[in-house]
Amino acid sequence: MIGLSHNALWVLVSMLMLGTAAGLVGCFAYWKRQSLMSDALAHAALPGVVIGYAILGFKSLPVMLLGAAASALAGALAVSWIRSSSRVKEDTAMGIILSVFFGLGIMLLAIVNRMPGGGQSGLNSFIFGQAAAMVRQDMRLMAAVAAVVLLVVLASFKEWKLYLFDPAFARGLGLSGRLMEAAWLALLVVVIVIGIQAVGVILMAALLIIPAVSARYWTNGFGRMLALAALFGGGAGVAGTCVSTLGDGWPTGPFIVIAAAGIFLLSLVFGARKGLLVRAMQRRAQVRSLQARTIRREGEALP
Amino acid sequence: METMRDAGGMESLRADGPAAARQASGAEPVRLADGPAAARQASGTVAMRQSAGSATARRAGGPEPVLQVCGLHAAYRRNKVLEDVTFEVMPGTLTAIVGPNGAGKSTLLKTMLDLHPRLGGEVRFFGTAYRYAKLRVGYVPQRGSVDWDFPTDALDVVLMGLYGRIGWLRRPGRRHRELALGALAKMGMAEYAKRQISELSGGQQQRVFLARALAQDADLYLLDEPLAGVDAATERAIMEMLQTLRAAGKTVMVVHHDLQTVEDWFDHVLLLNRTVIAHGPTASVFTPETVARAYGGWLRRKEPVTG
Repeated sequence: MIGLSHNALWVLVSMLMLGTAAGLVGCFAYWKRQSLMSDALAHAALPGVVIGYAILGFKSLPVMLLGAAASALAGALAVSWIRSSSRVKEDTAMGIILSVFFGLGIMLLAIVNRMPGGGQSGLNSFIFGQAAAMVRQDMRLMAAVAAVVLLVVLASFKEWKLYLFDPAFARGLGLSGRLMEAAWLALLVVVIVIGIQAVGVILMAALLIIPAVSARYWTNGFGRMLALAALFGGGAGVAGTCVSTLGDGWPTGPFIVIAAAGIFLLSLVFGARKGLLVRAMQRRAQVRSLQARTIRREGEALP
Repeated sequence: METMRDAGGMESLRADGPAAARQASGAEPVRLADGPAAARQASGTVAMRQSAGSATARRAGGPEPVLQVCGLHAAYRRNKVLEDVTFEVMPGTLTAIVGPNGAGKSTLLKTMLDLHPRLGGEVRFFGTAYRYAKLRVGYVPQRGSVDWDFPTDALDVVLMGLYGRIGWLRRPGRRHRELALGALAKMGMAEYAKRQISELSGGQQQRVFLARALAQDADLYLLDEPLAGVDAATERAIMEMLQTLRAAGKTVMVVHHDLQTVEDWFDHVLLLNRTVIAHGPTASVFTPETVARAYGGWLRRKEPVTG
């Protein structure tokens, strides 16, 4: 355990920021019905990371993240190209891109790891995530970018709500669909890119999807759903990171996902709006009142 | 904002509009009634004559058409849906767009609003391209086009109609909330303002959409099947609202499915089946002959395919 050293504090703050940003953007993905897109793009980021490392020959997070952003965007373009130029549907296109890009990334990783000095590159931590592998500068970069995402979402909250609920009407009011589409893709790629070092490309999508889905069980307001998803994402990020530091070299990603899944299970059962418990109680109340009415009627029918 | 003030200026022009407009367009069904084949073939020439006619009206100081569609073509992948659609709509009219399934009614609205790519042709709103007249055009999409499970309440949806006026990146204020509430009240939905939209019935959802369009305060309304699957009370509430709008000098076009009620509610009819079959005042254009041409022609053309 890193205790409460200065470094540990930085790790926790940056994970909190990352989880918050991922929760917000995950809500957009949820209502755009593109949760799978976040998974495809996270996997598609891997080749870019490895190429970024191979070009420089040493580890530089900004360059690797630029590479990740470039290859994630290439993945997104490939998905939309496959969809528009063939009969292949979007989910299939995402499946293709996800596996092909990830395969390519693993292949490049194997090559780079055999290069002199490649074994110590720490590139493997991008697969399952290793928050402990981050240096102070990395965390600052991560926290700053996450803060920008947060500000963008807060400032244009109203526009996102309109665009996600009724894009055709939004365009009628002069809100450019192309601009919103580009902004959405930019937000998604940025969150994925800053998250892959700590959470890993394989599990990054979980941090985007699970908090949003969990939040849906608690509220019927879009603003509150965003706030809750941010809270859940931040909480899962911090909790998972804390647990992963208990063991030496434990990956961070799986623990974050397990923490998020725990929040989801609680929401599924106890959620105030759509939770199983509330539904069961409502149903039981309905059945009881029906029974009461039937008994009364039968009582009246008796001579 | 410029366009909004501009809209105010148009009101005075429109005050004496409707009657003149109805007369002006009343001339064209007579030409169209020549015969089905002739009408279909001549749709291009009719367009020219029409625009020539409206040019005369303009010179005479009459109202300008709010909507001009000329030679509009559109397709879905391999199927051509709209062919050479040409018509003009005058201010202060309430028009039903009628035609069989697959006639391209919804596509017509979407293509006019740049929501569907057009293969050719021109569309002018208030004498200009759609992108310059957006705020003056209120579009009410089909109810099924959005996900009603979206976490928001009725008032919030109506507020969206005001977003153009509130300005981007700004928060709606109390004044906007009151405007939205007023629009909801006009549709008889004031008590449902805080109701979750997924908990509203189909008719109530449709009323919320109408209230949102009202809040937008447009000059031309385009509604895609607002009466589909709603009960009689909602139908009455919606149609009375549309008639109030027309009385206020606004122009309304409605994709409509129920041939029985066309004559009750609409003063103009646009019969559509890929192309304009007939267009003009209901009394003179909505005849068994034109309806049969719009619907029957379709069935005949379908026969060889279905067997």
